[in-house]
Amino acid sequence: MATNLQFIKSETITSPVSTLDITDVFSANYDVYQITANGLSTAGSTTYCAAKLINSSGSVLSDGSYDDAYLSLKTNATYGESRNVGITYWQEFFGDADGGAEGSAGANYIFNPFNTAYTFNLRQTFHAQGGLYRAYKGIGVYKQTTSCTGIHLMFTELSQDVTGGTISVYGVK
Amino acid sequence: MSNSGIFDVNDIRYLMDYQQWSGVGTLELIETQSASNSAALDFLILKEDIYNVHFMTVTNFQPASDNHYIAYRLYESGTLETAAVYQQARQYGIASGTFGESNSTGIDEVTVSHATGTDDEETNNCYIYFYNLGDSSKYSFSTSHSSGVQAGGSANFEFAGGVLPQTSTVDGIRILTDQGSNMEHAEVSLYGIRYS
Repeated sequence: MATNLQFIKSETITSPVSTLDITDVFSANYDVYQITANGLSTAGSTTYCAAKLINSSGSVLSDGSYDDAYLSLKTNATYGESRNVGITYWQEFFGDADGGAEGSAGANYIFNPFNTAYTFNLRQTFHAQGGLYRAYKGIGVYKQTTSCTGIHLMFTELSQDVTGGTISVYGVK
Repeated sequence: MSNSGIFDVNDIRYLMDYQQWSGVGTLELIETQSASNSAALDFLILKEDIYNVHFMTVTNFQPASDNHYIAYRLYESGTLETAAVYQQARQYGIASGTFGESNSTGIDEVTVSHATGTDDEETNNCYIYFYNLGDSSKYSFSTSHSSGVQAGGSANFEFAGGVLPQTSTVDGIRILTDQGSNMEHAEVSLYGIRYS
């Protein structure tokens, strides 16, 4: 049996969206998933690319069971730390989208989304935002044993739609 | 399932359901190169028109002189960018020492590991993700993570982000050692991630 990434689904954003649901991607077939993003961009100013999980009934999980912690590595300034406990989404899951040649990209991992265990993530993203450059390295956990089948990306925090980019989901064999 | 020796669509679906169909992987090996007292390794076939995200591994890297780092530069439409236009932000930790941060806004290469020694088992290993290389309307990014042993035997790690903040088509990657030391040895593999 091959050991590899197995493509599951890709979504390309071609018109402005405030949220994006990527459904029916987590299943019993894999325990570990990679989600790549590239070219996440806006028509103007910055927006955060946050995320929530979608359960097997298709509902977006918005309870306060999300924790995350990430380091902001800045090319031009002292690094920053962000820690959040009991919030309703994973902050800046794919960094910060922005306009023009800037924007965000990343290669994140999700662990155990489908089985009845806590769902974890590892993140590594990079974004260019208003002439500033940031790498985020971090983790997240959803502290419920809910079986999840999809991910809900939300760009609403700064009221700026995302207008471009591709998000792809892979199973890790 | 029938045993005619020929897989039909239903056979394949069945095997896929049970993760027993190897199918076509989505991590495509583009090229592997090895260094042997080499100044640089050039990857000049990226298939950047196909892949938006590339993945690279560097294993068994050792510089020719103590405490050098793995680094990269990018080719833009066939021309190696050697000017101090790259930016990077790195976080490192040393098993017998301290953790620290290092950032730069005007450098001529992006480093993707911490220091590496030259004794037999002192090597470094890392992976690098590259984003947007083939998109001439976007800056090119990288994220990386390394694990190695520096001179004197201390283990270290480093994770980092880098950017070439120029809108260009990147069609090559040069792997080198920072500050001009040769690579005594290293194996470097470049992959494209399909559908990225």
